[in-house]
Amino acid sequence: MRRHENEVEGLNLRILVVTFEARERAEAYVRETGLRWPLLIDRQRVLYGAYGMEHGRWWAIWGPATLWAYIRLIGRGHRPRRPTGDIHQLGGDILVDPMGMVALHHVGKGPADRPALSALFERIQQSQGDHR
Amino acid sequence: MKSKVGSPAVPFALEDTAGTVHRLERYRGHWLLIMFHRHLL
Repeated sequence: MRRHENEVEGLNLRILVVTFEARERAEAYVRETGLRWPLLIDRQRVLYGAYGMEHGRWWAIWGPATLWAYIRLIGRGHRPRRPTGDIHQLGGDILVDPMGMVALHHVGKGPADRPALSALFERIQQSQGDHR
Repeated sequence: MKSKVGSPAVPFALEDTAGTVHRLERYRGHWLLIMFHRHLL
């Protein structure tokens, strides 16, 4: 996502990142990564649950797609830490339009399953074009 | 779970690492991408 910061600049888009991990870990993550978007803490996983982000299946968490995702991360210079949180918790992405309606609801089946950001940005640009 | 596309977004009030509380309504008028992390790497 951080590789797309320039594309985000030109859109009427706000980004929030949500974690279920403890505040100390979240604060350390922001310090270590220089994350530029707010990192919200949902310890009780209420918002996760509201969007159907529960626990993933073993194969989805530990399968080859996950291994490949980690290899790509390491290839980009990132050094993954030993996980401290619940590794089976699924993540995902929700896009909300300016009227407050859900425009995209993606629950990842595993660590490697995320929507293409370029397609998401195109969708926003198209919508903004339609309203001009 | 059934997709929520086309439904109103789920309201929330969550604190960030700086102590600021973020609410859904604050983002009305903007596109909002909410990225849910798995465990933090």
